[in-house]
Amino acid sequence: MRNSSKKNTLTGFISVLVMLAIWKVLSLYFKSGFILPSPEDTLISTVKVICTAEFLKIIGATILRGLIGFVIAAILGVGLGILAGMHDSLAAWMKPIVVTFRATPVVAIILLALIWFTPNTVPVFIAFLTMFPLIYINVTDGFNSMDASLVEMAKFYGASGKKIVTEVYIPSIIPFIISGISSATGIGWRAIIVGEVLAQPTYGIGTVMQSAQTFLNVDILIAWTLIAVLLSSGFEAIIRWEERRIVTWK
Amino acid sequence: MSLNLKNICKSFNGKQIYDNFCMDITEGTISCILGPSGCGKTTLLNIICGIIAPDSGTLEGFANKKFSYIFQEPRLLPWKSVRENIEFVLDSVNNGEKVSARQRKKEADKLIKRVELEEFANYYPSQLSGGMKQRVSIARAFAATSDIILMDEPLNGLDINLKHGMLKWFSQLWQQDKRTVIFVTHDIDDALILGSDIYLLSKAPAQITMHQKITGPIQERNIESSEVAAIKKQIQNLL
Repeated sequence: MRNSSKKNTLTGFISVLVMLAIWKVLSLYFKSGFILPSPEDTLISTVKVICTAEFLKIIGATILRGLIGFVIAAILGVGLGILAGMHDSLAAWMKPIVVTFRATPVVAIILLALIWFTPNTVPVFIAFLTMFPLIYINVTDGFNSMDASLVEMAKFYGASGKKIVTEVYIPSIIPFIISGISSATGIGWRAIIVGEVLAQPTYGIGTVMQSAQTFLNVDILIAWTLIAVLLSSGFEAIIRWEERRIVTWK
Repeated sequence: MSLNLKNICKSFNGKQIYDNFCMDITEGTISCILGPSGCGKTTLLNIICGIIAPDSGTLEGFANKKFSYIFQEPRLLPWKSVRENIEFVLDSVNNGEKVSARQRKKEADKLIKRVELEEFANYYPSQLSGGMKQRVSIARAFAATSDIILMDEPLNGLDINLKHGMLKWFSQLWQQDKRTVIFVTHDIDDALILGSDIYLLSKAPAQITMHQKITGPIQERNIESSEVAAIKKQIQNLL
């Protein structure tokens, strides 16, 4: 097991090295920092970006928007998912709404949101709309795959409705909630940044990426892309860590 | 005191499972129900505890009775430890007074000890063998405040040694807490080892074709004695 884990880490490390090598070769081929700067130039630019006075404001604004959108999506996704799991009529009511949310192109939602909301709230709205269906669907899937015999056992032993919800339903769907949150945040961060690119709030990763693209600061654009990737990976790691801490029984 | 099923009729999709079925169960004893597959043994348990309503007929003496159920599979909550699974069925209120978490833990530990799982009290079901899980299920049935324990072939799929162990743990718990037990099984030996009364059912629509009382304490029973062997042969001939 430990050997397999070491082997996987090594394989991942080699994969990163190969990607960097391809990047380096391509940058040598193009010979232009305006098209593709080299990995080392991008690293220097990344450090410079991190050291700027506005870095924390920019990243903080994006994280805050992401968290607000995520919290609203998580509360409604988990809450409505549980209720829909318990009541078929609500599930039937929610189905066309969720299907519409999922099928609508993100850019169409952003264009509408630009009309309806202020630049600061557009990314929050986008975050909510992209994350909510994923969390909701995972929770309802959790209900559908629940072992009905456990609920029958709990009812047989006279457990109250509250006890069944808190001690049978919720623990049973926790792995699905975590999986939903993980997929939702992965897609959500990308959607938030697209929202910021188009809405242009005062501070935001998308805002600075857009201005870097306008002025052909490709190294800065890639630097912010790397920061966005690290941000998304960091949140993914936190979610996985929480999963290991909560789901101890597997 | 006796519990009576009178003229029970039940059919599923046009198939008559019970037709004017009658049975008397003595309280505080272990009644074993034997019968061919599909004769409606599980249906009978479900009628007794009210999960299924009979089409007609009456159940006397079952009103206000509380039940524990030892299912074919242990049905333990995977996210709860052995102790927590037992605590799950313990009342948080007893005679109007709140039972503290400490008291519940103490009660659960007492039962865990009786089924010899002290070392595994904090283990999750995924860390236990099939036999251990079923022992937890037995302990849980005795932990719950109930008058009647229903057992639906809980020893199915266990090897012979485990089965004997399980019968031993069950009888130990029952000796200290003689609740009414209705034990559905297809294994004649299990019925002869545990039962106070053995009922043999016919094919559907089921009727009792034989009722045999077994006397003597469980721990003194010898499955190979001539007396028990004769009963076993009689049951085999009727099955």
